[in-house]
Amino acid sequence: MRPAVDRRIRVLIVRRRLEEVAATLVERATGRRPAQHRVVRRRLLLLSAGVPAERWPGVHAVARQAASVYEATSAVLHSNCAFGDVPEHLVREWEAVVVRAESECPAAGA
Amino acid sequence: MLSEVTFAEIADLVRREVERGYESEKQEGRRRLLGVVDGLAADEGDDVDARAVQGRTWRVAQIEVSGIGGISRLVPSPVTFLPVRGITVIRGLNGQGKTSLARALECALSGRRDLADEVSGELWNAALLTQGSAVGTVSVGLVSGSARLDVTVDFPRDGEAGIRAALDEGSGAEPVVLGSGWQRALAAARASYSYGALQSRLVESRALQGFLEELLLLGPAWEQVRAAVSDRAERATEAKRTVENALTAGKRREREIRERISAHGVVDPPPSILWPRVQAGLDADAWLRSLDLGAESNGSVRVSGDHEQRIADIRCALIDAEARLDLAEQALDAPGIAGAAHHIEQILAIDAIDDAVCPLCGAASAWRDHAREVVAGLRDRSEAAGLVMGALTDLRDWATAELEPLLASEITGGPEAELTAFREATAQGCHARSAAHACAGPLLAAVTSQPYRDWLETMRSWSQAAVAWRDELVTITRTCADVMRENMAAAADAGVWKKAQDTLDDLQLTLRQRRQDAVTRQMHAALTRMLPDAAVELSAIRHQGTIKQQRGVDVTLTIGGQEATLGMLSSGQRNALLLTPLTVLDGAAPFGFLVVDDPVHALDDTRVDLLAQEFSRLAGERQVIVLTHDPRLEEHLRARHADLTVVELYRDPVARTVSWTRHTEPWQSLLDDAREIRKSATTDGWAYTEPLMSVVAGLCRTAVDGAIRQATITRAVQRSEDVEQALTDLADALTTGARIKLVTASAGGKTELPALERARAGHLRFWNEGAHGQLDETVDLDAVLDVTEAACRELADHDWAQG
Repeated sequence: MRPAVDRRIRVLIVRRRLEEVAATLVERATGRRPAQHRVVRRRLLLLSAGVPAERWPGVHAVARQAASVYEATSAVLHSNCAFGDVPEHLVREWEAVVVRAESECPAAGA
Repeated sequence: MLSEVTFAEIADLVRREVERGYESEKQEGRRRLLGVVDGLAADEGDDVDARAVQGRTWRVAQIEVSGIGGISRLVPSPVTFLPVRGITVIRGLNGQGKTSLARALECALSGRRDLADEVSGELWNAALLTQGSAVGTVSVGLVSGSARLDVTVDFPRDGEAGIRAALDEGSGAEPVVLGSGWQRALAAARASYSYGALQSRLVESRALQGFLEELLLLGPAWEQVRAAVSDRAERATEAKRTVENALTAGKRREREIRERISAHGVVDPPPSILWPRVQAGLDADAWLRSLDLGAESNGSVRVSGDHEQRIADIRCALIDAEARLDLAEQALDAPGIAGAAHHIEQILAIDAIDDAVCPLCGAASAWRDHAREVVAGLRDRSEAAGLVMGALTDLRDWATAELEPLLASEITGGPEAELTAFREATAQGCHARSAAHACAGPLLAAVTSQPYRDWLETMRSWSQAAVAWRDELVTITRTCADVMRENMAAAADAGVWKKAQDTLDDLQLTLRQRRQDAVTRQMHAALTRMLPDAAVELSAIRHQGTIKQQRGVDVTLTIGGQEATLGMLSSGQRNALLLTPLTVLDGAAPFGFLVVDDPVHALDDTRVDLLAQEFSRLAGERQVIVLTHDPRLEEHLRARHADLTVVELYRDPVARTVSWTRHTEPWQSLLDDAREIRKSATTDGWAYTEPLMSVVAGLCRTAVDGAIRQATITRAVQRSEDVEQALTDLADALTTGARIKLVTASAGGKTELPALERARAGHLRFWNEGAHGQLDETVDLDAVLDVTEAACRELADHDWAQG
């Protein structure tokens, strides 16, 4: 498989994993899993909800990074920006953010 | 477009000057200039590489690279191009081998590795070869009509590049030499344009000026004529200078010698040398002949080497003769008896007289024997007297030849009184026992005395010095004559070639003015096109200083009517300005292609679109190959060129191989990828955590979104609308469904885009839900891909200028 295609699929997977994190957060908060993946960026901010004060800044930063990555993957997958290859380092960075987000929301990454 | 000045044009200009001129040194200079131009034009015609240049419009068909820059090899190799007018975009992220490819092409065409140095200095030179490669090789295939030219260059790690070229005109490839004609054409065409190279000049103070200066140059033919005339003028001037220096050195040495002679104060100096002026017609041999530098020319005496020996010989001869004379006279003991001897001989001849009785006295005696003794004694005396006279004559002659000139010199001393007495005596004859004979003794005594020898020694030393100085003068003049013989032919032309240079300067002023006006006009127009909203105007590009003392190029800019500097432009505006020279390059044969490396720097969407517009214009007349990392340029070019060719590079950082694939349209490659993934997943398995269907759905939706984005740009471009605003409007539509609505409305309704409408109605839900992992397992993926492709194709093929 061409490296560019591989990266594009990984971007899609990043986005999907973030959607799962967002859905899990909603489920935790409301007790009900949402039917659709909507307002994902806002839902990701729930990562820092209820976190003890001493951990809150760090977790909130992860939440904001995750939201930002979700927006970036949207731009790529919806062709909001010019169609082009996504650099490998960027995909890795996004994947690292997802791992951090999932670690704050264990059920999502399970 | 700017074209280089040709030899024919230069010849016409000079011929016109010759026709207008009148006979003078300047007119001769014009004729010489015309001769140079005609000669160079003839040489160019004979150039062995003319077949590779004349009547050709080369376009790039393929490139093979190995061991150059970041490319150990290309996969597959070579990279191929359609050798036609139009645009090819070579895209790739940073570090994928784009610049290596562009530089490899440029270095291969020129056969010069130092081009790379001009781009980024020693760093690039060091990295010209891929790490570990002993030699880098670039092969470029060029096509012009039915002819094909393959140029291969090997760049060894150490040593010169070796360039090989083969031309195939339909009857098989033949080696061809890419000589000066090729290089000139290449330099004039500026077929490779590296923004990076130009930008690197920005760190220098003169920045843009250097490039503009190149644009203002009149081309290689002009430079060649100038170089040839300068070379001749320099040679003539140098020859003249050499002769003048030789004459000056000669004069200085003559002065030194005269000072030395003068310091002696005895020997007369030789006549002054009449040094010539360096001018036409100066004949070195005639000048040498006119100089009176013979052996006696210095007026000094010369003491012969056998001077003393001659004196000794003469003296000995005289002494011997005198001794013999004395003996003879003693034997006779009766001076004046010679007359009687005659009579005795007569008597002796009478045989009848009795030998035993003296016929005079009658006494019995051997009178005949006695008589014979007397006769013999007389004869001896006479001979001795002759020898004395001979010695005296020799003395007289020697004194006249040698002694008198010595006495006439400035050096006092010498037997003047003795010589005078002897000379007066010899006027009466040189007989033995004469006055001359009497005076010879004192003279000989004087010339053999010690004082005489001392005087002679002094004389001799001065004489030798005088001869040495004369010889030195002869050497000096001969050296000058040699220099004159060697250089006068060239030196005599110094004035004429100076006039030829003057004529060339006059013509250059005229041409330069025309060129400045043309460059200013064209760059101003290009800048207005690139920065229509910035109120930036380029009002003048002028050479500073005289032809001989050029002081760079002055760029006069105004922003909003106020005079401005380059530093007042934003970086995007300045970059746009740096790209404008592209538009004034001549796209004429033999290089019908333009390779532009990395032109998008700090340009906003509007500027990218304007740049795409310029490239599109250039692509109407030549093959344009643009290497860029910025996908926006590709989009904006595609808006103008539906058949845009895109080559994507990917470099394996470990193996350093650079793979390339050709795409038609981005959405098409996405759908091709989706089909490929679907196929390989069934055969090789699926390694991703996300289900295959989800990935395919995601790729389909991205393809549709991409096709809509491209359609939005194309529509704005074709309708001359604001591209940036159109993209902002599109971004405001957050979902794919909303975007489909937007683009459908702009096309004039659902009936205008039926395939898109079918896809929306049938598969939008799948695209969305699939992309979000909410799968409909019953969907036929092949059908979805077909419908998606049809929708994308419809968007791409739609005539967006209408409506």
